[in-house]
Amino acid sequence: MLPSYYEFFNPVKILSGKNALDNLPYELEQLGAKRPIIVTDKGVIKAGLIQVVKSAFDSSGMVIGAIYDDVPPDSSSDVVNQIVAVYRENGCDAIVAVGGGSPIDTAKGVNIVLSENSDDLMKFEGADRLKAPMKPFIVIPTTAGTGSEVTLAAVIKNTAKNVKMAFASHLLFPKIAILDPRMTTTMPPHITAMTGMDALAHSMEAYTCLQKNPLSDAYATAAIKLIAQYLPKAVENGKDMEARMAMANAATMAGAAFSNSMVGMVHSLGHATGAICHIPHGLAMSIFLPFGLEYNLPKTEAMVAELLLPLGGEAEYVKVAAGQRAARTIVLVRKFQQTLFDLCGLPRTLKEAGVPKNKLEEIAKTAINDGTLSFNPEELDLNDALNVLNEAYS
Amino acid sequence: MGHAYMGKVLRVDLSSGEIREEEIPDKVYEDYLAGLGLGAYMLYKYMPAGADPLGPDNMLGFVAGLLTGTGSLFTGRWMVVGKSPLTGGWGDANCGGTFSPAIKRCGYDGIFFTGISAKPVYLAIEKGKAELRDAADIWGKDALETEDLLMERAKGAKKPRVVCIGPAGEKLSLIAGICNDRGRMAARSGLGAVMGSKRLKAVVLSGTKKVEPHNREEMKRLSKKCNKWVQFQPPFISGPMTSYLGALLRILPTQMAQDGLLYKIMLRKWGTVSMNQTSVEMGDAPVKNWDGSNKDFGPKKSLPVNPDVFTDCEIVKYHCYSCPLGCGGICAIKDKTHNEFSEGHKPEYESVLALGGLCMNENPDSIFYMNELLNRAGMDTISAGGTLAFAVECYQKAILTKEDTGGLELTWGNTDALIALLKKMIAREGIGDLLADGAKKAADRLGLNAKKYAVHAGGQELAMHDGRNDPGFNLHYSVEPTPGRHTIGSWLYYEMYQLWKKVKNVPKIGLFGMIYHKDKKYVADQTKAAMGAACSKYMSLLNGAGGCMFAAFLGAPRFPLFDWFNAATGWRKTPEEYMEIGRRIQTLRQAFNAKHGIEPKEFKVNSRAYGAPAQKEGANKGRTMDLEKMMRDYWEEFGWDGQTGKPTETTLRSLGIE
Amino acid sequence: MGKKYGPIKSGVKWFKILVAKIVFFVLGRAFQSATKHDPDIKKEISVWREGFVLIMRVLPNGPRMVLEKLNGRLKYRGAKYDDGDLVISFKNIECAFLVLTPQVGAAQAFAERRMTVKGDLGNAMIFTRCLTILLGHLYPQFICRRLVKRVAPMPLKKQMIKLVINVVGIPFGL
Repeated sequence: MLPSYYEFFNPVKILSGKNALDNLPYELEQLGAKRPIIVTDKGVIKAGLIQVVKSAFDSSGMVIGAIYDDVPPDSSSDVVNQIVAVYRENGCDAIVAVGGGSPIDTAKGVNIVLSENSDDLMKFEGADRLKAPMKPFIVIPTTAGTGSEVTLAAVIKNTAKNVKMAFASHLLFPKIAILDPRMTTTMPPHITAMTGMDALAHSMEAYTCLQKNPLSDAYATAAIKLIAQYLPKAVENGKDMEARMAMANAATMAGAAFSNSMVGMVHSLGHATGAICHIPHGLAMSIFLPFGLEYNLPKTEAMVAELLLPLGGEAEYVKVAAGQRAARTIVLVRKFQQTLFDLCGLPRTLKEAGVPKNKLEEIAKTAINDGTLSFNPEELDLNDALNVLNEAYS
Repeated sequence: MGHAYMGKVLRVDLSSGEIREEEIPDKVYEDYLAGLGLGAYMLYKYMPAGADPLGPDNMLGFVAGLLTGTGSLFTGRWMVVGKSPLTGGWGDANCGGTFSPAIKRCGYDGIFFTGISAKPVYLAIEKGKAELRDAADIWGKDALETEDLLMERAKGAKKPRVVCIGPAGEKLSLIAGICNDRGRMAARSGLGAVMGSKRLKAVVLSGTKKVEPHNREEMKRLSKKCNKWVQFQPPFISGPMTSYLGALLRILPTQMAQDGLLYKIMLRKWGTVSMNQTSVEMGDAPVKNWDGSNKDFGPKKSLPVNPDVFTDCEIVKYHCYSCPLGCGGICAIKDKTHNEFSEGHKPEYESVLALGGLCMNENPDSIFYMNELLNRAGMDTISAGGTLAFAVECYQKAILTKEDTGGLELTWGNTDALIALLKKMIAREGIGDLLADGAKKAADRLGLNAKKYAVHAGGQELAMHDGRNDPGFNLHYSVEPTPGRHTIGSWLYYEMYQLWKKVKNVPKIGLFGMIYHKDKKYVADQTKAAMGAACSKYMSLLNGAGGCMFAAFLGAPRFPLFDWFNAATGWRKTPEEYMEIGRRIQTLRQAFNAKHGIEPKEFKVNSRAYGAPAQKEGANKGRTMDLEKMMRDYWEEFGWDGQTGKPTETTLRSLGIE
Repeated sequence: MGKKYGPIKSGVKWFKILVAKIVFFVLGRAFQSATKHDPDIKKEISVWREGFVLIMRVLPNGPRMVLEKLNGRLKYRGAKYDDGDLVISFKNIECAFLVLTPQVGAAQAFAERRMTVKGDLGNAMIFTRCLTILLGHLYPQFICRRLVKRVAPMPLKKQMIKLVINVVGIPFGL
């Protein structure tokens, strides 16, 4: 069943595979850039991944304008302004983001300020506010992951007011995303599990939320299939290149899916929990996913039933009667959580994740004001949010 | 001039085989009465903390009431007490029939078993002599066969009475009960498993001692007066019309404080099945594992189990000892599909709804059949129904697959699958082994969020009274030392008990409180806590007396419990002093729980049962309540710690409990 | 003599613009009245600062509805301001027409990318919730069902508020 109207946009050129990074200088040149600034964080430096990026520039004749590696885990407007200053100081002409969600979002913020020739990020808060053409922007993700390399949104903290600002615009897409397996092999097991569940949540929500369309569905199911097969392998053996590559691809596809069809209450609850209790995004997604799917079931049963095929495989799909498929999908998600818990101790409930019970009310209040909730198929008011949180608690 | 109690109990150590009598001082009876209070006294005193419910340290007691045999009415019930393997704390079960006076005729107020027998045995008391006899030839037989065999063996003895366990108790199913009178059962708290763990198959009692009340004339006078009310039986509506009664109660936004005389009329006419259709329509009966409503099980579906169906096949009406009302009955089973039984005990309301509406089962024949199967197996019908409904929902939510159930398709209302599953549970076969210990244990073992679908309080499946309709039920399900019980209190029961007419300091429902808006029921305030506390205290007294809850429904002015107490024992206590005894008995049971490591907060019912989230349609649409506040208020009303629910040191000392 | 090629002036959709203007008026007055009488809406907007400006408009130069928070309630200000704290813009008059003559719900319209939002998305969520409640006051249930995800129940108290808004609030601006 097709939606009456939808828009789909994924302009990012994706280079994926062995030694994909070696193409970086060539692509930069194609975009007319000569002095890129690399935006990254200390974690990437410590993992030695910047060396890989730097070595890609060897024998290319290109100069790296600057490497800004002080991006904090929560991107903020102050950092954006600092990077803008460094960029201008060093006469850079392109942005290369290397890292997870935070450096990528920060880089997007930097691009906004530079291209609109402004000095105040706040002016552009909201959706579809940008007009000026953006600077050349390339993303090299090191997690598999948030999928931010193919999304049109960036979330950056307004340091002055200490609130998160959301920016969404088609102009925020990077021109190019490079998926090189060397960049994700150093993720330890529980980070692999967390970011992998993040990708699963993205794809499953993308398949069931209000802006769902055939193109995003295709990306979503392909992502789910890869995650179901390869995530446990990647968690168990970090050096399994095939598994790492599959997860990187899955994360990108999941990102493309949800960027175009939006996400729902799992993200609303996850954002709120992350904001108040500082639970990592991927972990919150993992905990809330089965509960979100269950809550929306009255409106999304048929769709969730279809997801049994990519998630469980043909054997599982055929075994279960049609009326039970949606329920079985959710059971499989829980079993998947259990597998990851057994492999690396990834928490399955809010209690296990260390969220204090008295914070639940505050989280509920924040969650219902999260923008993603408008795309959730079912209505969620304060009481409903509290009920779900209580359930997810233990 | 006697004092109604026998003054001693029998102690049986099954490990060593030692049997001895123990004198109980008068003061114990004055503080705790007999029955439940005496049981609580013994268990608290003699059971070490941390005792394994299925181990030798657990003490299983059979107790008769203080008023049993004194000439009062409605006082023929017996109780079993012990540590419950289902909830891990205080356990008791209550049953009618004819066993209670038999205990006193042997000269005892109670018989207490400890230890574990090496071989299956049964206790027989005949002509004043008690002995343990070999039960190898009856071990494995169902409860009715066992009773028939033992009664046959006891021919010639004076008024022999038998209690026994069935295969469920022998197999240590945690929802097994203890049977008597060929189909009555002390079913809750899983005490049948305790009896099975002790390898005690049965107790056969035959005695001739007389119970001596203090003032026999006064007892007779009070009973005659009470009986007049019981005999008052005007004509009443027909069975199928009861659904309209329920619909009317649902639609009106206000309701009237109930006078129990109406309920007595219905009970006398039909028995507890009088409420079958009414309860579904008004939202009192849970449907579809507590997730559905009268919209899912409307009048057409509940018609096959309307009250007249049961009285039409009733062969004989059945009165428990000293009861003039007679709500029980033996029915002819005309079931053509199964053709196994020709007659059986009339199913009670709880059994009909647990095996019917709760599982969306519309087939009345299957209900008679399953009821008889469970009676013979010695398994609690309420818990069995609750566990079946849990299994069906897990199957619907794909937590259980066809593989797990051995090919059974557990869809709502699939009668054949339900019967097959029930048989597996009784035999502990395949998935039946997982389910035979109740919904909570099954959910714990399944994981995968199955606990959301296990509707229980502290492990005990809830009875067929929806707390979303009368929040008092949810309160008592959650705060009683024996959680999950519907036989103690609720706002409806409080209205019917009419305690304010006899007892001072309890909330009064005056003329202007007679008609009130339904929303008032859901407000959690101090009055409600006081009502709940009064119900608990009153029922503790009634259980100490061996009394029947349906008698309490007549209302305190018509059911002269306090006067009977005084006339039977020679005491001269005021109703308020008796309520204080009730408070003591209740506190002692809660202290038992505290001693054995129970956290009262964890007895709170499953969130579905109290409307988190609230239902979207049906009689209880949108209803929810602040259950935690209600629990705190109740505990404080008793003088217990409001945060933890455990009795405080001061309270224990003031009541004389160490 | 060759063929002459020249610019083509675009037309104007008079009818739809008029409808939009009327509905904006009704909606604005309804909001104004509701923030005074409906406790749920009052609670939602209590988090907005004094002087908060909310604008709903049609791009590029269509009619608009401006609401300003003064003295704890929202006042309908016609088309007073150009910019505000929360600006919801319909991309074209067709989109506006669909939403304002309730054929498509606001959430659905946003999902179909028919409007853009400037300002904090949290405020947009608050506004959407208020709008949902308000629509319940303005339209009967069978219309509301198509517009919102869940129709709120209408107890007696709410029905009285509905009466006040429709009879007094919209015509007289009270």
